[in-house]
Order: sequence, then structure tokens, then C-alpha cells
Amino acid sequence: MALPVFSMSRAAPVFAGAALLLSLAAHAQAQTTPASSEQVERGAYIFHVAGCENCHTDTANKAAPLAGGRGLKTPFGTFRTPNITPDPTHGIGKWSEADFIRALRDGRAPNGDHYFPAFPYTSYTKMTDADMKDLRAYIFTLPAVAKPNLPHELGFPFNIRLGVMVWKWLNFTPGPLPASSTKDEAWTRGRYLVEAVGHCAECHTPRDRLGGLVKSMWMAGSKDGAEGEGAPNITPDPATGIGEWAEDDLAFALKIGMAPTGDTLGSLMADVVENGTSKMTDADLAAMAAYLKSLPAIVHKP
Amino acid sequence: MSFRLTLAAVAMTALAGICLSPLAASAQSAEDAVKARIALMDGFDEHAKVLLASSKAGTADAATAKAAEEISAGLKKLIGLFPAGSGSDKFKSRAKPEIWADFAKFEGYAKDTDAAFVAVAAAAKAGDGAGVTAAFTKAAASCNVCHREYRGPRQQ
Repeated sequence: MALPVFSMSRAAPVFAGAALLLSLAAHAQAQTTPASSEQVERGAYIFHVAGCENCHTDTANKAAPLAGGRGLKTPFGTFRTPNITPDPTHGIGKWSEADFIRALRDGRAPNGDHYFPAFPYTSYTKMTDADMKDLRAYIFTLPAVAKPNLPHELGFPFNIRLGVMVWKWLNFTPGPLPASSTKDEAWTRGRYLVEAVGHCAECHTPRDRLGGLVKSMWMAGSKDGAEGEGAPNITPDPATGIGEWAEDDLAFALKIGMAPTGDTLGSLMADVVENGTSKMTDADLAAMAAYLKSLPAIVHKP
Repeated sequence: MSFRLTLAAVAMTALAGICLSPLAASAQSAEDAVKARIALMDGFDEHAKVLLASSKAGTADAATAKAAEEISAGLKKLIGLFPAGSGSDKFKSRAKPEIWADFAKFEGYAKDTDAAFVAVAAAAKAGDGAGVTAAFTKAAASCNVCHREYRGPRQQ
């Protein structure tokens, strides 16, 4: 009787080891299994709504798509966006699904480094795992570009990456959006598109001196939008926001790039429309409009 | 006597006016050009409102064609209202200096946009509602291309 017990206890770590190896093998296999065309198609849609190419392509210098290098001017210095093409050396070609999800959900690189919040993981954290996986699947179908990343140009003390840890502790709540029991499906979808994937608040909500979003001024506009250009108030205040825009006019403005006033939506929003909202379904645009029109109206002219 | 004096005064004023006119006219015309182009583009907004309503509903009627033609005609005038030295550095204007770094490019954008509005008018005249929506979507994108590159932030 003693013998089998003895061998069991000896065998347990071996079993565990074998199980680990098996799961690792399964994991590796999952990584190499080509994504289905449906997944890639879903990922392309998420990619456009998330606006990845707007920041990760250095359009002004006619650089290759998603190879990074675009300078994002902020009050803290200029960030240089990284290469997110599937290049194994300079891009994200070696990232597993778990790596990719961790970057978006937790704002951390595969080596554990904390990303500066110029990368809007503060919004992307609210995305579903499924959307993140689809997004990665799509990006991995795009051409790899062997272009090295440029360093950020930040002043002291913002150049200390460890400071980001403190910043995250103050300003960052990881995790998906809570379910809503009181609102309908369209509103919930709109909230997801605006708050998570579309990350509208990153430009349209003012920031405090440490760069954290001022939650009490949600979507009320910021004079420090991306690249130092102001982003308007998009709460339903009639005088300073979009209160006078009908819901369907707001949806149409996002589709076509022109406000109901007859004016174009403007500089950086032109990119957002061209690469993003103009490619969205009418139902999704209506959902975004429904959510935005439901926000508390805030009187604020940035 | 008083008549001759008046005549002399008028003649001298006229002479002074002629002598000073090139200088005065250029300063005057740049300022006038800024005012005129702002008024012209404010007018575009009003026509664009008509086109927004038409393209949202897929309407192809005479009012739609007229609004598109008004913008097209205005765009032909617009280029002449950007004399060198009339940018945001000298005037209350949103015109970025990049306009004059490569004026031919700026002019090319205006011509593309004009062509886009001609297409809107053509679709409206052909009674093609879906065509109006498609053409105006392109025209609005063309407006955005130029504004993104050449229009600075609103000045307070």
C-alpha cells in the first residue's frame, strides 16, 4: 500500500509538468492558428473605431502605416508613437494574445514596463477581450515594417517611467465597463463605442495638472486636445456644447465630417471621421449619438 | 476764387490719392480679402446646411442643385481672396502660413472641392437622391482635407 502512495507523490510534479507543457503547446498552437476571415473583418472594424492609424502612422512625413514615429505634442512633452506593425523586431510581431490584451487592459508592455497614458489604455481597458483579440488578429494581417522606434521627448519629471506607476495608481481603473441595467441596448453599445474603443474622452475631457481626466467635466471639452489643439464640448449644453444638434444630425455629422451648422468638424476630427466614424454602421453611429445626448449638460467653453 | 480753391484742393487730394494708392490698396485689399473670404465661407455653411439635409434624406431637387452650384461658384472666387500676407500672423484669420508655402497645392485642393460640388449639383439635377448623398459625402471630405491642412484654431 505504501508503494503506490510513494509513487503518486513522486509522480504529481511530473503530471503537473506534463500538464503545463501540454497547455503551453496548446497555447503556442493557438498563436499560430490563422485567424478566421470573420475575425479579421471584425478586427478591422474595431481598428477603425479605435483610430489606431491616426496616432501610429506618421502621415505628415508620409511614413508607412502603423510604423509609428508621429509626434504627439502634449503639455508634458512630445510623445513618439511606436511601431505596431507585425514586425518581430521593431513592431509587435512577437506579441501573444495575452501580451496584446495586457497592453490594452493594463497599459503594460510584454516586459512589464508601464506605458505612458498618451497611449489611451485608460479607455481601451474598457474593451472586451473578444474585441482585443479580433483587433490583434487584424493588425497581424497588415504589412510588417522594420522601422525602429524613436524615443519620447519629455521634460523632467515626466520622463521618469516609474512615475507612470504612481500616475496609474491615481488615475487608472483597469477593467471592462460595468453592465447597465437601466439603459437600453443602443445606449449601452454607444457608451462602449464612445468610452472604450472610440476613446473620445481622451481629447474631449479636460485634464488636471498631472494629466488625469477630470471626471466631473466628462466630455465638456479641453483646450489641450491632441497636438495642443482644443477639443470642443460635446455634452448636450445648448450654448457651449452640442445641445442644439438633433440626435440623428449628430450621427450624420460623425458619418460625413460636417456639423449641422454647415461647418467641417475640424482638424484632428477630420482624421477621426476619415479613418473611423465614416466607416461605422449607421446603427453604431446612432448608438454613439444616443449615449452622447444622454450625458449631463455641462456649461464649458474650452 | 473759392471755386478755384476747391478745385485745387480736390485736384491735390486726387493726386495724393493716386500717388499713395498702391501702398494703400495693398493694405486695404488684404484686409478686404480676409473679410470677403470669411463672408464667402460663412455663406458656404448656409448652403451646406441645405446639402446636409438633402444628403441625409437622399433628396435630389432644385434647391439641392442650387446650393451645390453656389458653393462651386464661390470656390472659384475663393482662391483670389488669399493674397500673400493675409494669413493668421497679420490678421484675425484662421488661414495658416502653409497656404503660401505651396500655393499651387492649396489651389489644387480648391479645384478638387469645386469639382466635388459640381458632382453634387449634377446628381441633384439627375434626380439621383443616393447620388446626392454619395457626392456630398465626398465633397464634405474634400472640405475637411483642406481645413485640416490649412485652417488653424479659431481665434478668440
